[in-house]
Amino acid sequence: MKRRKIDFGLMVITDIGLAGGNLMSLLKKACESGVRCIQIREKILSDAELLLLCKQIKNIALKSHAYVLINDRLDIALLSNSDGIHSSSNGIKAKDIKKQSSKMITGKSVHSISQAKEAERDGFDYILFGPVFRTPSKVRYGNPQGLEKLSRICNSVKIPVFAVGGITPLRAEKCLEAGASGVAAIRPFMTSGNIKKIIKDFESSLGSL
Amino acid sequence: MKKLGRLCVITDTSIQKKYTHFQIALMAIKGGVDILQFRDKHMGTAEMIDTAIQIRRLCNKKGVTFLVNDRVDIALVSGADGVHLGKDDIPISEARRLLGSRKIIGGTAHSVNEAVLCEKNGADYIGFGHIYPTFSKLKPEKPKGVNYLRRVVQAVNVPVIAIGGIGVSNIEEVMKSGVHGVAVIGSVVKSKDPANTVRDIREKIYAF
Repeated sequence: MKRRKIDFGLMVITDIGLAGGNLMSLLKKACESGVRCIQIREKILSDAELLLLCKQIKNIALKSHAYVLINDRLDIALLSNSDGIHSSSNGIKAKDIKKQSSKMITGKSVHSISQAKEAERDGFDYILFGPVFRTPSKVRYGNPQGLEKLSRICNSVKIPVFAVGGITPLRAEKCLEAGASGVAAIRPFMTSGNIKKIIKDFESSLGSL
Repeated sequence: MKKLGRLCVITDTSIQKKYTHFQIALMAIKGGVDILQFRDKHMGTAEMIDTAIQIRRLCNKKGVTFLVNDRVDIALVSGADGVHLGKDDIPISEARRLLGSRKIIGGTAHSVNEAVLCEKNGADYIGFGHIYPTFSKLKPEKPKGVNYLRRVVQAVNVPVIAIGGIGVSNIEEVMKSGVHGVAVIGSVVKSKDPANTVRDIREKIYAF
């Protein structure tokens, strides 16, 4: 299975529960600031609502050629012309995605080295590891796993690793030092009063978006 | 599109824990079911795909139509014969873009208007209910009854499948409405001998 090259370093993850009515304007500003990848991860919407939202976001992202990844749902990704799928820990397999659409970017959430290796074997293009730091979004995954564990994950696979969980611009730099290719976050973007500044800060700590 | 059978069993593991989806499928097929609909609102996507593929293989072998509830992605990946979509799911016209004209797409309706709309949007059949009181799902509305069912049947040109509280005792009354067929859950999985219950319902449907 051919892997897609990952050419972004920052993933903005959506949460309409946090952003509310500001979601579209936040994402528009994020794209204008140079964000290259948005993951739509909404758990409270109906499928009909989710499909509408994904189409709207894809439309916004189109202008700056930013990627839109859909959490877990191949049908919604195909119908919204999105660029890929981020599979949750019990989500769809890479081969099932690529069989339907070989061009899709595929990513996988992992919480351990064995899961990371499995995701690489399964053919995913990148993995998302976390929570690296303490975060309210991920309390259900237990205690933060730390930079040392992140570093071990990065050493265990060849595919790009993204760090998630409590990520700030300052911590993003530490994640890169630990071997991560990039970072992902929800709160800094969804609850931000000044998303353009936050993204600028991430850009300077990551080197590029 | 495959010719639509008259008896559908919906696999459900939320109203009972005694049987798995696959076990329900086995019993329903033993009893002579025409359509199996896989329904799970909580399972992770990977597990849903695995389960759907298992049941689809079984259905293929036995010539039974296999549908997936709600999830077009699961239907697509598992190679199901189609999907059944509710009002808040992916719209029928969008599902058609992914599945093509040869797959079956059913739509849920709770009124004559919704049934007509489903047909207009390209549904191959209408699931209408609930006909009788049922505990398989939390129902905010009152049962529709067989007289209203008859009006729905007359309002659309596609087959109507009645659902909700249907079992051996009332199947004949339901069939009198002119309905194409029925979907059952509780009356089967809660009976002492599910395969036999499916067989009894089936005999009454086809004797009608």
